Amino acid sequence: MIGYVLKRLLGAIPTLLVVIALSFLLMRLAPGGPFDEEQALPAEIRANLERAYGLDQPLYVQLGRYVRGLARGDFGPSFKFKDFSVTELIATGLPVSLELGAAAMLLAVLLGVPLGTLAALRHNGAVDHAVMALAVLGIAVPVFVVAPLAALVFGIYLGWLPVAGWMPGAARDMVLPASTLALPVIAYVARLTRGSMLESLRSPFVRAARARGVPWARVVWRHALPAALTPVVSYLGPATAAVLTGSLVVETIFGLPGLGRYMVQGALNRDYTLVMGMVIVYAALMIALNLLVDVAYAWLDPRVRPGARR
Amino acid sequence: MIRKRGLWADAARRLVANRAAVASLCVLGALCLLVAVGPMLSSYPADELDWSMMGTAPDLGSGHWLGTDRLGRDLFVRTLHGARISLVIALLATAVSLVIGVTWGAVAGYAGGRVDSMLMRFVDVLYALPNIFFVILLTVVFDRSPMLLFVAIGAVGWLTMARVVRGQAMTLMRRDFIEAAIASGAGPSRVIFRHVVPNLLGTVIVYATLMIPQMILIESFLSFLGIGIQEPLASLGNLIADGANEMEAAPWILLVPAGCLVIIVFCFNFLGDGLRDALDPRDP
Amino acid sequence: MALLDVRSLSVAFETPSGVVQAVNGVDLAIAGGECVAIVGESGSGKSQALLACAGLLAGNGSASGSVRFDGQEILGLPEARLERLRGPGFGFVFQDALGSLTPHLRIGDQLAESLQAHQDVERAAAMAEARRMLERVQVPDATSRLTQYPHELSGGTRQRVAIAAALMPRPRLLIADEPTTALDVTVQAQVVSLFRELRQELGMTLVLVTHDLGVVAGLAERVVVMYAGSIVEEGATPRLFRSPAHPYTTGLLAALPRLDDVVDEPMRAIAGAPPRPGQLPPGCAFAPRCERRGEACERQAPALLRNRLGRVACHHPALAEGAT
Repeated sequence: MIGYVLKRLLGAIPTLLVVIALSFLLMRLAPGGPFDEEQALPAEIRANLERAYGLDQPLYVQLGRYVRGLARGDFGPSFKFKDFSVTELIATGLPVSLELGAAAMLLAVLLGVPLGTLAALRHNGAVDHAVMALAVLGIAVPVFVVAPLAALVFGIYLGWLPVAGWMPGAARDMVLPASTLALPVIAYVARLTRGSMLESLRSPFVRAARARGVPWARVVWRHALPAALTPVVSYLGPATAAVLTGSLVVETIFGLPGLGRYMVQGALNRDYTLVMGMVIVYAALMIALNLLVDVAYAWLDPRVRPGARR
Repeated sequence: MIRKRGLWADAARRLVANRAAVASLCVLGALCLLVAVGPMLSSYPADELDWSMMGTAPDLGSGHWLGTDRLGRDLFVRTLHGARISLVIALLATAVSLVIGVTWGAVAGYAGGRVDSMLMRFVDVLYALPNIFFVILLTVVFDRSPMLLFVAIGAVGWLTMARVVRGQAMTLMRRDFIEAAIASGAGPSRVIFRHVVPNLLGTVIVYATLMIPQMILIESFLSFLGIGIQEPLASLGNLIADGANEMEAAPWILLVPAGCLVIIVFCFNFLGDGLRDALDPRDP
Repeated sequence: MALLDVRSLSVAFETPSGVVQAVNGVDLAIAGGECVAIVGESGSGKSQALLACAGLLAGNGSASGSVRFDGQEILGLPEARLERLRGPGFGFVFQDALGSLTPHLRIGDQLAESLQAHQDVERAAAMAEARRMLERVQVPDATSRLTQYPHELSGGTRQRVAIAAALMPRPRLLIADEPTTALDVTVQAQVVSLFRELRQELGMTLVLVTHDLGVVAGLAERVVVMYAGSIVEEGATPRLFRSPAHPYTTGLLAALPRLDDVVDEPMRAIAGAPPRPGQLPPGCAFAPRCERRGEACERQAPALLRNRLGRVACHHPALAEGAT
């Protein structure tokens, strides 16, 4: 198992390098440089600035410098947040975003799987139809519509939950953002679990377990459910992508000082190094999380483990 | 030729029987009509600031049928303009994705072997990444030009299309008529574009229809954040952002464009599902 | 008294195209210690009838009639009570052994679970019993099997493990549904002899559902032949093989390839195909394919009548010597 993980990690490095190179090249394609918006700079000062930032070197040299910097953990300076380096911004934002994302994913699984299972066990009943209707809504209504609505209803009309700002450790602040972020994932996981459970409950080994007199609750919990979870685990990969994407909106609306907010501001300000740094961090996060998903998949289904005899 | 027509007629019949799809088609048709003609029906242009009527609620009598936003602009007209821009960008982005994706997939499917491996490895690598971030990167590169927004969105949306097309192309390549075409001396581009691609039409139509709502959502997402379409141009995304700011006092400013967006997305999804069932029925 | 007493059992399924009758009024009695084979083609309803007895029909199925196990009516019992009966009462062995074992659980856990569901034993004791059971069904290297997963075993071993799992709670009645069909011939023979030994050793009642007459000959004392959801013939194995009464049985036996067949002659199949459930012809269900078909056959379905040699449902049964 360890060998499998290491091998996958090694395979992920080229992917990351491609991302870095691609974003770097795209950035350099941008018309104008980072200093264009400043008040008209005398040519000399601009040339000095560019030399200081290494912008006068040929592309591949710049790329090399950048990658070496990355290896040191240095993402370069932020061109717009003058007092901060991108690394510092990442360091501030990452814990917040991770907490938000983790909360959302946890909610998604802890709510989505039981809802889907219940719907499957009470197939075609009232619960089933209710869960499916909610699922359609959750999937189709985008997060930037749900988030303001949720803030409106729960934050302002009902006054239950705080709507903006974030204090480290304050769980209440996280409730509304994490729930809105998790909603489409909960909906999809519920739908996926339901379909998968329906199939699993019909499978021959479930019938065989029942035929041996194993009690129904145990059949569902130990026989049917783990077999049904594999598509859900596979989905967790794209789900993380959805959560990362949605975090941009959620962090902006609820004023959370996470990576998403910096990314958006960087894009609005044309802060190249910041945006590039964010893209790389997000890509690295995605790769790491996808790897985790693959490991979880292998743990759930012994047939998939490397070295398993077929 | 007769057989071909029969296939399409069969599919058309199945589609017509699918009530959700037909309803969606009607709604979308009505919406397109409205988008084209609607602004002319109202007496208010989209960007006229009506100082006397800022932030008024929907009122059939006042001529502002769906109310006004906080600057006094008529919401009915603005939403229709927003819908127009969102739809146009989504269609253009889908077209870009189509062109790249179909070509990529068809070439990979046709060539097979190492070329196919290489092409699809590239797709796999990019597939694992959340493409929104690349789109954002591209919008920064393109300096947030609305013209090039659709290129940015389309440039990262082609991946699924490429995969699907490649799968279909690989199946097609084994069919006899392809072998016949190759044997009769047709060159690769001729085989690909005159034989493989036309037979992919059904799949491509289905996935293109399903891609449109995704493109709309991406564009609205970006416009909502201020990275896509900007003021004073209206897109459903930035209209929703406006509405989010005015939620407490004037909820309709949020609800009207949000409702419009949700309806469009729903309709395209139902239509796409209906097309998929019509062209590729799995139940007898 | 019969161990399993089935009267007028009917099984129907609700499908999008209407209600489909899979089993039509079956009467069957199985005494303790017997080995009875139920023979028929796919779709004859044989498996569904037995699944219905144990309450294991699919969600859209429903059963009516009477099923008594050890004198007690079990059809329609609440699930919790049926669960206690399954295992120590009847055990099932299915055709697809890979499908009867849960892929993500280890063999030992599944066997132990079978036992612990019905008896209050510690896990260690249950595992020990599992190992003993594996040895008894002649699975080589039993100890290491306990920690393996079903996909790691070969087909023959898997079927033995499935049998072991069914036997763990010591069922009084074992129902084996096509246990040898998915196995290759040598393994088939081994499984058949395993069944024979287990019967002798445990005095187990065995109901064998199969379409393989060779297996029937080797194991069963009595044969029940089903066609299109009803019983068409029943009798002791030697008599049935020697002088079948129903034309379907005759056809089945004739279709068996024999060593002394002339090589170039076409194999003797029964012409036509069995009717689909829900599309039974009026009158006798076998009439369209029957050589002895007469006028009455197309009008009225024959009743299942009992005589000295067994039961038969036919308007023109072949009379063996000594029959009434």
